[in-house]
Amino acid sequence: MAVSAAALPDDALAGVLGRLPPRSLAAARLVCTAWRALVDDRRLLLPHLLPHSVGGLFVSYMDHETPHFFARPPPAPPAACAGPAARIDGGFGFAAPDGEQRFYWHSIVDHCNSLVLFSREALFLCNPATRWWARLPPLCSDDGDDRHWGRRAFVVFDPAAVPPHWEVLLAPREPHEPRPRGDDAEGDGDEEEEYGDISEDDDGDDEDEKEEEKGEEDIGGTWRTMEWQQEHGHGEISEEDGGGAWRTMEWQQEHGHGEISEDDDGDDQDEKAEEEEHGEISEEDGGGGAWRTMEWQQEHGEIAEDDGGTWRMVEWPPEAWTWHVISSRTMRWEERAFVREGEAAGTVAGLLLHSLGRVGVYDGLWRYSAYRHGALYVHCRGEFVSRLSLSTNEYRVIRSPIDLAACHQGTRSFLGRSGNGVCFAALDGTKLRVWILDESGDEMEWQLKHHSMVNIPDYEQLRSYVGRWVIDDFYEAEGGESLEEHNDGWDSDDDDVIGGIVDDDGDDKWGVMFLGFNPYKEVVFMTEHDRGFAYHLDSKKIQYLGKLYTRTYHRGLYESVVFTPCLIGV
Amino acid sequence: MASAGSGDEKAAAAAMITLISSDNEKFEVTEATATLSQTIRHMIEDGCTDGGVPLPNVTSKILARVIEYCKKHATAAAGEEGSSSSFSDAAFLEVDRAFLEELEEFDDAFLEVDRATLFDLILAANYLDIKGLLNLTCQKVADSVKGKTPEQIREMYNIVNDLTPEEEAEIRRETQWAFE
Repeated sequence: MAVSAAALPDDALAGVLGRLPPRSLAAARLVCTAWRALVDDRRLLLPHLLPHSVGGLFVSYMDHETPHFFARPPPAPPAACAGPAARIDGGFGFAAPDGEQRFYWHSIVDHCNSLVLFSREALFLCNPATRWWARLPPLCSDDGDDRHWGRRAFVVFDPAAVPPHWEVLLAPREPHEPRPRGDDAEGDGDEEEEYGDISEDDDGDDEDEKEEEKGEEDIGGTWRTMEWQQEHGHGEISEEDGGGAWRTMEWQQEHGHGEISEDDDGDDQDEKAEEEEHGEISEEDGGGGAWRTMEWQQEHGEIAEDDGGTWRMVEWPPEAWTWHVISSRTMRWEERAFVREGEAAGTVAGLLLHSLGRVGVYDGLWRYSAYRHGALYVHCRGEFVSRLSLSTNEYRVIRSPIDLAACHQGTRSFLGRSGNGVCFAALDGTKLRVWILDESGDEMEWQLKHHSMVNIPDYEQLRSYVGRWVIDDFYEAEGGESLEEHNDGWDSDDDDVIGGIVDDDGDDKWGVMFLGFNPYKEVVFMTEHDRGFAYHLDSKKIQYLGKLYTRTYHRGLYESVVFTPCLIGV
Repeated sequence: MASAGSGDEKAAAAAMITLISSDNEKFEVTEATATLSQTIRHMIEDGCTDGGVPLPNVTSKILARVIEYCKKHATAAAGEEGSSSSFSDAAFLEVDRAFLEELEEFDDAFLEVDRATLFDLILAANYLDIKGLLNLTCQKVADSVKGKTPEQIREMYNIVNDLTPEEEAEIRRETQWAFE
C-alpha cells in the first residue's frame, strides 16, 4: 500500500525524525526538500553535533615541532552512531594550503567548542573533527607587518548559532618594562625560550626585532633559570644577597640590550626592590623611557614624551580596552573597544610586578580562557580574570581567588570551565583548590568547591593498570589494530580508577601539572612526569589515562588543550 | 492492590466520558482512560465535556484503537501507582515486572498495523496529545527509516525527490561524516 509520508503534518514528522540517530538524520535531509527543511528548521541534528564530551587532549612538547593528540584510540571501523568518524590528527596535516607539505612548526593558541586556533606562518583556524580549516588574513599595520605576533589570541565558537559563528580576539599588547639596549651579553640559549614564543603573550616583540632575537632570548633563559631556582628554593641564590645581585645583573643585561619581552620582567619577589630598581632605571635611561613612551602612545596615545614614571600609575586594564577581532561574519580584522564596568584590576606598576609565563620550566604559557554564555573569560597577568561580554562590548575585572603573593610562592593558577560554570584552579605542589564563579548576583564571587591534596600514584602502584589513552603516533604506528577492542567510548569514567584517594601530606611531587578542565563534568586533567590522569573532583578518584609521551620524544610536556569535538561545519 | 491508588481509580471509574468520532460514532470511556489524552484532560478540567467530546479529526476505526491503547495503559498506570507505596515488597515487584512485560507485548502487537493506520495513529496521538502513544508510533516509523539510504526511504514512503543535484551535493558536503 502506497502511503505518502506527506500525509504526516510537520509536528508528527518532526516527532519521527527527532527519534533518529544522527547518521540517519543526515540521510533524511537528503530525502526531499521538505524533510531537509524540517530537520534544519527544527534543528533536529544540532544536539547530536554540538560538543558534549571530551575527545582527548592536544599536547605540546617542549622543543617538539607539532602537537600530538592524546586520547582513547577510536574504533577502527566508523561507528554506527555519529561521532567524529575520523581519528583526530594532532599535527593538523589536513590544514595545509594546496601543494604545501606539512609545516615543521606550529603551536596551538586556543580552542573553543572544537575550533582550534593555531599559529604557524599565520594564524589558522581548524576543526579537527570535520577537518575544516581556514587561514586568517594578517592583521596588518601601516608598514605591512603582521601584528598578531606576540599577542594573546582567543577563539570563541557558537556552533548552535545560525549560521555557526566564530570570532578570534587578539588582546592588545600589555605595557611592559623599558627595553634595555646595546650590550651583547652571552648566555646559554634556552631552546624552549627560543621556540616557544610564537603567538604567545610573552616574547612577542622578538618578532619585531628579529636581528636581536637570539641574544635577548639567551639572556632571558639565564636569568629565568636563576629566578626559578630562587622561587623553588633549591638554588644557592638567597633572596637578600644573591637575589639582589642577579637581579642587578639581569637589569644591566636587559638595560644594555634589546627589548625585554612582556613577561620576561619576571622579577617579582620583592616589591620594594622592584620599584626602586625600575624607578632608577627609568630615570637614568632616557632611551628606555622614550621607547616606552612610543610604544605606549602607539597603543593609547596619551602619555607625554618625557613622562618618566607616571605611566606606571595608569589604571590597568584601561577603561576602553581595544582588542582586534575577526569573525566569521566580517572575515576581516576590526578594532573593538571593550568598555570597563566597575574597577580596574590595578595599575600598570602592579601588572609589571607579576611575572607572567612559566613559573617553572615545565609549565606551559598562560593562555587559559573560558567561553560561556556569550562571554569570554580570560586569565590575565596581574592575577585577575577579565570577563568580556561579546554582545555588549563591555568587560569587567574579576579578582582571582588567589593573590599575587601566592603566585610568587609558586602557586600556579588556571582558568577553565567545568560542568557547572567558569572555574579557577590553583595548584600548589599537590594541593589542588578549585573555585567556581558564582554569577548569580551582581557581584561575581568565587566559591571554593574543592580542596585536597592530590595523591598521584607512583609507578609501583600503577604497575597493574593499562592506560587506555595513547598519544596519536602510537596508534598510527600500530595501525590501530591492537587497540580496536577499546571502542566503548572515550569518556568512560570507569577505566583504571585507582583506589580511594586518601588525603595525605602530598609529599614532594613538584612534577604535578594541570592539563585542563573537562567542560562537561567535575573532572580535571593532570599529569605527573609522563603520565596523564583524570581527577574526579567530587569523588576524589584518580583515573589513570596513559602515557603522555610520543614514541620518539620524551623531553617534556609544554602544555595542553582539552578538545571537545563537534561536527558542525563553519 | 490495597492502597490509596485503587480508591482513586474507583472514583475515576465512576465518571464516564463520551467521545464522538468524525463519523459520529460514540465511545463511552472512563475518565481515567480518557485523561491519558492531555487534550481531553484539559477539556474535563474546563468542564466542557457534557454531551460528549467531538473529535472531528479521528475516525471511529482509529479512535477504537486509541481507546484500546488508553484502556490498557490507564490500567497499567493505576497498577503502578498502587504498587509504588510498597516498593520494597518483592511480591509486588514481581507483579510489576510481569505487568510491564505484558504491556510491552501489548504495545508490540498494537503496532502490527499497516503504514496508513500507523500514520493515522500518529495523527490521532498528536491531536489528542497522548505522549505514550505518540512515542510508540513515532519510534516505530523512525525504526523503519533508521539505517536506510535516502533512496530507500523515498521508495518506502512514496516521496518524490525534489532536490537538485547541486543541493544534494551540498547536503552531502555539510554532513560528510554521515556518508563516509
